[in-house]
Amino acid sequence: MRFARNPNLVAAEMDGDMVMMSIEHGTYFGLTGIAPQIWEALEQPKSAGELVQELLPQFDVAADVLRSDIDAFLNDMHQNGLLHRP
Amino acid sequence: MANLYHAYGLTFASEIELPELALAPDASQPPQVQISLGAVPPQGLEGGRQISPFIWVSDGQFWLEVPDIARFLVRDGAQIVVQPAPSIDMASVRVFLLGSGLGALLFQRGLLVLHGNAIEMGQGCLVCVGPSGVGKSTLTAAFMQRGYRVLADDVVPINDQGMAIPGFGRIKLWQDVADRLQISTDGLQRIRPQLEKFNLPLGDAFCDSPRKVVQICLLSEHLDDDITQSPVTGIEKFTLLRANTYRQRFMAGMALQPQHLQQCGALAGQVAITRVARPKSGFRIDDLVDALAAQMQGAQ
Repeated sequence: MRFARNPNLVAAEMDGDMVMMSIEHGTYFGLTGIAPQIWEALEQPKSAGELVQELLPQFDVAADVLRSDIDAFLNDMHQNGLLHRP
Repeated sequence: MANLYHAYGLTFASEIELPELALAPDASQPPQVQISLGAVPPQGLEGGRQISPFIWVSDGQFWLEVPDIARFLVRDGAQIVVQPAPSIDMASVRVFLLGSGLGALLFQRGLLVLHGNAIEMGQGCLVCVGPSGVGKSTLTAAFMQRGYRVLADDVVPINDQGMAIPGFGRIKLWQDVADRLQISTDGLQRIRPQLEKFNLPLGDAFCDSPRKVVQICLLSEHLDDDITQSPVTGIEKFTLLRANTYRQRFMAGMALQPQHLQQCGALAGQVAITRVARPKSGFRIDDLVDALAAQMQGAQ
């Protein structure tokens, strides 16, 4: 199952963090920590497994730890309408 | 016959006399903005959206009523129609025309508009923001007394190159602020007949060309005796820029939020933002001026 960015969002980078806004609802979201990198990696739709493979070399963590961080992020983003499942 | 004025890098042709503004240096340039006296519909904008009891917006239009003073219609960043209330003095009308009216116009022209004061420093400028009453005007006047030049008081438009655009050559000072800085208000015009608030002409202390924004300081008060400074980074930069956007409701109502976010992102990348707290009792204005000037030197 892959996740894709909701195209109706505007994003701006602030010192490595990211602020996003839903054009539809006028609401704001902040991405910190590894979330901005996950968002970057989602330029093309990807599954959680693909994200782990891509991002693992960038972080000094075990694959299962990264996987659970990525799962939490994807769920959260999906629930808030920032990602959808194409 | 309209008068031609210059402010915010624009030429205004105005049927209303605007003594706070400088006359346009070159009367042969076609004006970008028309200010006229005329009828403004009393019930808001047809097909528009009411965003507060006295504000309506629609595509390219902004409607504002200030009860017993005037109604304003601002269109396409190029036109302001003013309908003064019967027997109101024009100084009172100008306070809202030059504040909210021009603020809405600058938003429509695609600028990021911050609520604060801009002071020239070196090759760039410092923008001070913060809640009303925290001392932005006092600080600006104190910088002026030290020989710094001021770009803008209250409304600071910033363009896509991150440059603050000069407003017009005056600052508004309450009597108590003038007293604290030993500035005499004899002979100064009150901004409105009933208010103890005065227009202080800047004269040579007005910086009339754009300056790059290098530093933004959020001024606040605390109960301690010292002046503290702490850097603002990441998402908090956006929170702060948004909170200090001039009349941010206008911007939301005019569907300018996506553009505003991107403008804030671009600005956040070029400026240092600092939270500065001063003692609530005893302003320590000289120390504050010194601290900010020193920090500005570090940022440039």
